[in-house]
Amino acid sequence: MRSSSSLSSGGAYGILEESEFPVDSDACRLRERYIAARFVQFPQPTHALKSTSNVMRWARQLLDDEQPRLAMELVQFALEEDRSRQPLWLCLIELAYLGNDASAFGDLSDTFRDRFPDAAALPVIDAMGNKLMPQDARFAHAVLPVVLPDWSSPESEMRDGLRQRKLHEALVDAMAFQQAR
Amino acid sequence: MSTTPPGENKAGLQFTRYHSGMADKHSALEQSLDKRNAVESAHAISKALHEFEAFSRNDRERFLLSGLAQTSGDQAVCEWIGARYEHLARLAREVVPYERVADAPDVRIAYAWALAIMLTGHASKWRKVGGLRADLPMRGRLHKLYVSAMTAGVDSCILNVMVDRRSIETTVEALYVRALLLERFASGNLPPRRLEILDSWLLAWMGALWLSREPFTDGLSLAVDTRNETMGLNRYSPGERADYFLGLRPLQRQLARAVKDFHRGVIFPGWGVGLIFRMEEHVAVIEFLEREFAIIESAGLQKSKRFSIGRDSAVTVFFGFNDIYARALQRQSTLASTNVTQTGTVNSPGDALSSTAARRAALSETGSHVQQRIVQPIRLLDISESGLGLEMSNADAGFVEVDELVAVQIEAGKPCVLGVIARKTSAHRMNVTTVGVKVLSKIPLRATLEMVNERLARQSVKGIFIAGKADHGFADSVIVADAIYKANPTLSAVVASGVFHLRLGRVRLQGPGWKLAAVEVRVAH
Repeated sequence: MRSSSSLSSGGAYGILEESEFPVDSDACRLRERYIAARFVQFPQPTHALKSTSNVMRWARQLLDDEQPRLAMELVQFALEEDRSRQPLWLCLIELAYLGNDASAFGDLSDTFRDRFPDAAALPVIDAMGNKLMPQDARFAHAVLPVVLPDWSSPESEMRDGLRQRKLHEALVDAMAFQQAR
Repeated sequence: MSTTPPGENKAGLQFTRYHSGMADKHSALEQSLDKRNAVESAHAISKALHEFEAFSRNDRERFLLSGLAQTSGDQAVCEWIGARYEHLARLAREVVPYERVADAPDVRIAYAWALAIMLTGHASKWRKVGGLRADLPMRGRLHKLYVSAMTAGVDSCILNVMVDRRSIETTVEALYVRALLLERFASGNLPPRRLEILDSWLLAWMGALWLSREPFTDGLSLAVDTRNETMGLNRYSPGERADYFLGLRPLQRQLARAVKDFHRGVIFPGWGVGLIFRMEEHVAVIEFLEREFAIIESAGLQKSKRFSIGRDSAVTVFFGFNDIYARALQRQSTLASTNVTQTGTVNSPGDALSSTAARRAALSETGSHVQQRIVQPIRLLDISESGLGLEMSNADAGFVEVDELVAVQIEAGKPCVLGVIARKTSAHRMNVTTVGVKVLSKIPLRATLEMVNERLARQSVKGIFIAGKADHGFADSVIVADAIYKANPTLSAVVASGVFHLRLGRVRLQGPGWKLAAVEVRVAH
């Protein structure tokens, strides 16, 4: 898993409480307009949020575009629409971890544990939490070593990071040459 | 001068005798003020402000809604609004009893400071809305007002000010911070509607706009040195001279609060002219603040990479994809070890395309004809990490469009900076236009790409590489002509000493005749 651009230390925006989710039609329409304007690079985002693999692919693209906060917000929107999608919770937890956002990671892992108490991913989350917050008692019982799980990559997607990195290094070399001239 | 009452003309704003009448009223007010009586005078100025805001509300809203298609009447009225706010701000500053220390903090005397600082902020905002250059002494005036309010012990008195019929609970300190933040955040390329939205957010965030005597331990701090009249709020680095500090974290929390409102289907803050703006404008403000906060957070890391640029310098500017490729980036090639000096006429867009595609490419050509008509050099007004401002004659500015690519040669012999025109604002009295440019790359790289077809025949294509910040390379992009993008080719490129086969991915940005597309590497040698 490649390293992510760091998230703002201000943390993620957070997921709405279920009681805060808009119910009247005007508010729902405004929320949809906001989603469409916020994710203008994606076609029909409100509709597409229903597809977990779609959301994860877009989140990945936003990470590529160096917009980790927007990637998190996209996943948050999808979860606000349907909180039962475990892969999206895991994706969000990993994004918080990669962004070194301890506060968001702690909140998300608590919510995940409550919602999915038997999830196989819990020991991995504990290991990540222990690495991120060594003093936090919630993760003190971690037993596994930290191995980044790559929960934020859609299963269907295989990409060659080596070739992409090689081009980037060549571009950086050329830029350094231009800068030094 | 028209005699039509303001707001009754549908085709655009008209500067009327009613407008000049308001200016006369303010002059009369100035004559009648007893400036030794701060409380009475502030009350009279406040009354005049409410009257002016009621009179100009329709003009202000219509100006903000008029977008890019502004008439000379629109511009004249906008400058009048700025001048009225500035006049009232000057009067308010003149009645503040700078030297006098109150026996006990009194909210009525505190109001004199609050009014002066609030109006100075309003005036600064409308200068920017009108496309006028920043008022340089403004920071010094604000510092003086705040320091004297501290001395008088009135800086944290809780009081109410009226902004467009809405009562805002605030303090002198919060209004001072609002004015400094407006000045900082609006120095780039924020268009008027977004500036108005940003201001309504700052007014709603008053509770978080407080200063500390010490740097914040919870996250980064912005700092102000009130003894330095030329500086406003800047990111604090230990050892720098500063006397007051503003936490970045509280601002980020306020932004998160605003975003959550949008998730709930509520337009934050729920009042003001911003309610009638398109959702895209609100989202643009969120993205702007996220960018600004990120720049503040990474300012220490980026310092070494920053260009040292003198203010008010004359620069050479290139417009349009083709001219930038052919001339601005003539010596900025991906071939790192070779100086490219010959451009000639090779690689015209469409070289590698079918005749139909070539015609489309020719139609999307922009730049060279524009370049010949525009008088060089062009004045560089200001520059920040993410944008820069240029000043051009109205005639020259008429040749360039918003979303057009622009390359700026800031220092002779150094790489050209590549950007996209984000905003044009004309100030009709001076016959000049301010052009706001969003920077895409400080070292764009010209690439001679080759289109690889099924028969492995190779034909040339123009491209400009923009390297992303991330080491993984998935943020790298290339700019190509529209027609090339539509042809969906596999492209071969030599970069430094490597040879790469590329595909064009999703469009990250586009303008007339060009697209900035994600690069997907298929082969790397």
